[in-house]
Order: sequence, then structure tokens, then C-alpha cells
Amino acid sequence: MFAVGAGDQLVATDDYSDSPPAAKRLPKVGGVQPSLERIVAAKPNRVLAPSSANYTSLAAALKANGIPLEIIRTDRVNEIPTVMQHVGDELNAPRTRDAVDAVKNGLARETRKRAKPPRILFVAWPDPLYVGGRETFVDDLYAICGAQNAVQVKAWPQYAIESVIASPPDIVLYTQHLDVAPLLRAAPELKAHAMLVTVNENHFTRPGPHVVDAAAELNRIIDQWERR
Amino acid sequence: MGTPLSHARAILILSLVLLAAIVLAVAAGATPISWRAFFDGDATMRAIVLRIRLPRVIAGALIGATLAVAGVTFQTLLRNPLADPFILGVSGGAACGAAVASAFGLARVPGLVPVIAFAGACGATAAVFLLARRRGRSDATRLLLSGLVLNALFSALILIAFGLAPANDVNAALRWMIGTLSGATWNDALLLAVLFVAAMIVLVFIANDLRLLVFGEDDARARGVDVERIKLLGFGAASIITGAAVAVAGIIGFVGLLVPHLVRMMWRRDFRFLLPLCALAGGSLLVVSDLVSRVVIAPVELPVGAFTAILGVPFFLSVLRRER
Amino acid sequence: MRLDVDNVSFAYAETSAVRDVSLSINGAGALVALAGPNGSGKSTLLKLIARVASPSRGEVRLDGKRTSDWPAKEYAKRVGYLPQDPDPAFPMRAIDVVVSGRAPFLRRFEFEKDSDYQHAEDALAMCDAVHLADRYLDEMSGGERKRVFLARVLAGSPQLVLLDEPFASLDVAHVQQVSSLLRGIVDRTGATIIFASHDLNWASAYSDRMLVMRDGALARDAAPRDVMREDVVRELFGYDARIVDGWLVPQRETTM
Repeated sequence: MFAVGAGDQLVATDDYSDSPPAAKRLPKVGGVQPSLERIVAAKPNRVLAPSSANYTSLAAALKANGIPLEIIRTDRVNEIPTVMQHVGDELNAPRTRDAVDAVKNGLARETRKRAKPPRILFVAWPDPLYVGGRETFVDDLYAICGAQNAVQVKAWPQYAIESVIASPPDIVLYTQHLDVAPLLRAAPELKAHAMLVTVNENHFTRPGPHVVDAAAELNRIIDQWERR
Repeated sequence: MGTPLSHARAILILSLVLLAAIVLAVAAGATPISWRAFFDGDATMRAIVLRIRLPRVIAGALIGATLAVAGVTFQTLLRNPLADPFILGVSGGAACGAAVASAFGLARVPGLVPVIAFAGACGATAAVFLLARRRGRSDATRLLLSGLVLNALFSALILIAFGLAPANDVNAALRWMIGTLSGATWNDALLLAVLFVAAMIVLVFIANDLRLLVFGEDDARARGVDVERIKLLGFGAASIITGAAVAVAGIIGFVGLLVPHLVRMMWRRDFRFLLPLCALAGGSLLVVSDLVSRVVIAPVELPVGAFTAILGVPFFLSVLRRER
Repeated sequence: MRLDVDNVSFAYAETSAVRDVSLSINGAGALVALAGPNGSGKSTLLKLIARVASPSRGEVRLDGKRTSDWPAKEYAKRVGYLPQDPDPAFPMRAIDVVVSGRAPFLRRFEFEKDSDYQHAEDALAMCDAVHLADRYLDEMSGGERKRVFLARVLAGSPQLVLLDEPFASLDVAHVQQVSSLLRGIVDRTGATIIFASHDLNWASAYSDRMLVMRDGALARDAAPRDVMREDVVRELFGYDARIVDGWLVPQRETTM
């Protein structure tokens, strides 16, 4: 919402919204289970929620209070400009056109074709091992940046560690607060064969206008790998 | 009628089953193994077989044996065919310890959460035992009720821990609630082996007395059994190894309930005979369940508890139907 | 075999289950009935003798030695106890139930030997239950089950046998059967059997001695014919009895 210039229309956010800094100062309505009371107390005209969580009961409760709940789907990269356009149009936000163009142009700018695409493993959780597979947000980023996914199954499965050893990836990505030590103990080959890099959690696990920053970060990482 | 020979034969059969299960589970998995390469010294093949699969399979056998032994011990001590290491609150305690520790970010300290889970299991056991004591004696009904109440308390604490935890650490708590053998190391296998052997020694020592408890505590007392001491040792041994199993793999249900009943149906004998048979059968069941969970949609792994539950639920219902 | 109960009391949760009971049984081969209404302390007294519970006051002595001074297994070899309504939690065959009565004779890691199975079969024979050996308990009638558990107690060849309400929930034919069985065991083996029963008639039918309990105290210790008398029953239980041939029978007129 801030990207399209509708930030001043925001009256409250969930506990996890901390970017941009202005969002941190807004009243919070809760985390995994947002508080109906707090939402109603903030007196919004509508509520926007991501598609990654299940809000059916919340939707029904909000409807009873006359507040519509709208789900925003940003699971894939190509959904992001569309959603931004949609949100901007709904809210009559002034910078919609510019923001959407910025994302589209940014992604185009970051698109690469590489002679030797690196195989990348995104570790969503180390123990047990959960990875980012095909047809996910990170998979789309790989495609943009000219890399390949080391995992060929779809979505975010629990993955056999031995498969990671049998064909080790070139690059391993994980968000900065994860403790991957258990994974490295079980599979020291990762440290030996792959480049381990922490990535910005905000960019990589919360698809949105920052996707351009995510792609840029990924390109920097791959460039670094190519120089080794 | 139940000669030592037929008992030895039963042990032999189940040992062979376990051995076959272990061999199969090490040979099969997400990656096709080239045995020629393995014997030629190929590092990757060796890593997969010796560092990933073998400790996992051995840990699985030990955990399965642990759960089944704990199950038959609890069922005998409590004179209730529906007693299970988890119904009594032992797993709840372990998972609660793990969840609360994760909620406070202690997952970052390597090895700390398993120790806390282990302590939670033993603490839960002590609480159940003490709560159900009255004038120095405990009663089967009170023990089961205590377990139920404690499980409710632990579930509530886990939910609160979820609510308090920063979002990402919620996953860490889930890791204990949904059991998996993924990532089991040789250290885990060693810990499980040492505790399992110690517990089995204790249980074999008291087996001749423990089996008399199925006739009732007064009856056993009249037959010269120090009932309180036997319960302390039996309950203690079973709970400590259960705590270790949950600490390594998280909650895996139904093995403790299912295996003793299956073994009892096939060999209608008392605790002394059932103890080794349950260990072997429990180990086999979990090794096979884990194998299936690894290969059915490889390289994706499914939770092993799903397969023990798929087998367990229809069986549980049939036992309930046959209960008087 | 000498049993001495010496001013024994037992209380729990502020109720006295047994109050200052004293009795002695000397020598072998007696069928002793422990009679009295429900709640009079019969079960508790048997538990105190069986070493299942310890008296709050007083002592129980077997062959001159206090029960607490006897090693547990040695006591169990000499004293057999059958609680009311035994009900093992898992399906078991009769022979396995009976041979488990040999437990006090087994060492720590021993399984039952052939000689133990022989004792078990002998005990089943004494209780006229050999044909039940391979059957499961839940396939038997109440009377058959009672005989199997009686055999279990006898498998250890105890000198003193304690039975808590052996006739409970049995139909008349079975009560007759078990009653005469108890008499036969005493006569043949020389063991002493103390059985508790709230049914005065069956308590008196074959016994040599009757111990009548009331409100936790021992109210009468005499031969059956000296207890089954209208004046004694009136004094002990406070109602007008009609005794015919030593048997308590219903009043001719009903009071309504």
C-alpha cells in the first residue's frame, strides 16, 4: 500500500508489518490470529489479508460487522504487479501507475540469461528440511535471475536430506534468523560444495513490491558465485 | 503350552523380520544406490548409506522398540489395554518443554531443546505418578485421569507458547508435535541405544513381579510383590526412554498402543514374553513406516506419524468394539 | 500353622474399618467362616491377614512371627489370598491363570517349570476344573471362573487360604458346588480356609467355626450351631429370626 501511495489510508496493520518504517508506528491488531476487537476498534472500511493464511472465520466475523475482507494473492512474482494495480485502483492511490511500472521495469532490468545457471536450494526450515520447490515465489526469482531450482518437486515439501547430498546444489539460501547448524551436521557436503548465503527475510519471504530488491540481491549473489 | 522353545522361536522370527526391515530400509530411499560405487569408496554413496540412512534406520528401530516397550509396560502396570505412553501425558510434557523452549528462542542453542523435551517427559511422568498417589498407593483410574488432565494442561501451554512466540519459531514447536526421523544422527542413535538397553535391563529384572499386576494390586501384594517399588521402576524406565524418543523424533503416535495389542493377539502370553517381542515388533513397524514415508513420493518425505496413525486408527476402533 | 490376630485395628480416612479384633487359629484343617453384613470389616480383616494392608494398631502373627517380619515371598508361599471379583485386564487361559499362582516359588528370571504346571493341573483337578484348562476366562460362567481362581490360590499349596466373598454373584447350584469344594479341600489337604460371606446360611453350612463381625468388631467366635440360633441372631443383628434346621428362613407373616 505504501508503494502505490496509499499509505495514508492505512489505519492499522498486523504484528509482522514492519516495512517501511512508517508501518511500524501504526496500531497493531495481532499476529497469527488477529484480534477482531482491535480490527473493529481501528474502524477500517476494508481489511486486506494475504492468501498464505486461512481467514475464513475472520472473514465471516468481519462481514457480520459490515467490514469486507479481501484476500491479496502474491504467491507468484507475476501476480505482484497485477495486485498492486488492483489495490491502487481500489484505493484511488496516486502513485499506482508509477509503482507498478517501477516493479515491471525493475524486474525486466534484473532479468538475466546465464551460460551456466547455478542450481539453488532455498531452505525454508532446516530441521526437518523444508525447501522451496517449483512453481513458488523463489522459483520465479530463479527464473528471472537465470538460475535453476535444485528441487524439482512443487511447492514447499519436506525434503529428503540424502537427495541434497546426492546432487548438491551450487548455492544454498536461507533467511538470516534460521539456525541451519542441524542441517549442516546432517549434510556437511553442503558446506563443502555450495555457497551458503543468508538473504533478507523481508524480500524473500514476503512477496510484494520489494520483489525487485529480492531479484537484485539474488543477482548479486549469483554474480559472486560466478566469480569464484 | 508356552514352552521356552516356542518363545525362542517367536523371538527368532521377529528378529529376522526386524533385520529384513533394516536391510530394506537402508537399501531403499529417495536416491538410487549404486552398490558397486559404494564398495569402491564413492564418498557420496557412502555418505548417504552410512551417515544418513543407517543412523536414521537404527534410531527408528530403537524408537519403535522404545514406544512398544513403554506401551506394554504401561498397559500392564495400569491394567488397561488402552494405556499408551502418550495418553499418560509423557509426550505432552516433552512437546510442551520443546514448544516453550522454542518460544523463548532456545532453539538457537544446539542440543538444548532435546534436553528440555526430555526433562519435560520425565517431569510429566513424575507429576502423573504423584497426582495419582493416595496414602502411598496409586490406582489405575487415577493415573489415567491424571494423564488426561496433564495432557490438557500441556496442550494449553503449547497454544500459549504459540501465541507468544515470534512467528518463525512456531515452526520449531511444530517439529516436536509432528514426529519425523529426518536428520537423526549417530549421536541420537547412541543416546537411544544406551537408554534403551538400560531400561530393558531394569524391566527384565522386575518382569516376574510386574506381570502379576494384571491381576490387581492387592492380589499382587498378597503374592509377595512390592507393588509401589515395581510401579516406580517400571513407570520410570518406560517414561525415561519415551522422553528420549520424543526428544529425538518428536511425537509419533499409536506404536505404543498398536504393537502390544498385535503381539498379544498373536502370542497370548504375559509381560515376560511380550517384552522382547514388543521391542522387536515395534522396531520393525517404525522402520517400515519410515521407509514408506521416505519412498512413497520421494524425494518428498511424509510424516512417519501419518502412517502409524493410518494403521492405528482402524485397529484402535476394532479394539474398542471388542471391549466389554 | 498358627495364626494370631492380636488387638488389630485398621482405620482410613477417619473411618475404622476394623476395631480391636483378636482371634487365634491353631492347627490344621479348619473351614472358618467370616460372616457379617456388608461393611462390617470382613474384607479389611482378610487383607490384614493376607499382608495386603498393615494394621494401624496391633499385630498379625503367622507361626509366631509378625507379618511384617516375614519375607514377602515366604509369606506368600504359606498364605493364599483371593480378592473379591478377580478380573485380569487381558484375556487369559485358565492354565496360565492357575500357574501364575506359583509365582512366590519362582526366582527372579525363572519361567514356570514342568513341576509348576503339574501343581497347576493338580489344583485344577481339586477344583474339578481340568476340562477348563485351555479355555479363556471370558468364555466361562461365573462358577467356572471362581473355580479357576480358587485353583490359582491352591496351586501354591498354601497352609492358610483367605477367600473374600467366594460365593458372590454365583447362582445356587454353583454356591453349593463351591461350598462343598471348600469342605473337600480342607478335609483332603489339611489347609485352613477362612472365607468371608455376608450370607449367614452359606457361611454356616459346612464351616467348623464362625467369626461374626459387626461394625468392625468381632461380635461372636463360636461353632455354627451356636450362632445359628434365634436368640443369638436377634442379639447380633437386631431382628427376629426364624431358624429351621440351622437355616435362616423367611418370616411366616410379612410386616406391611
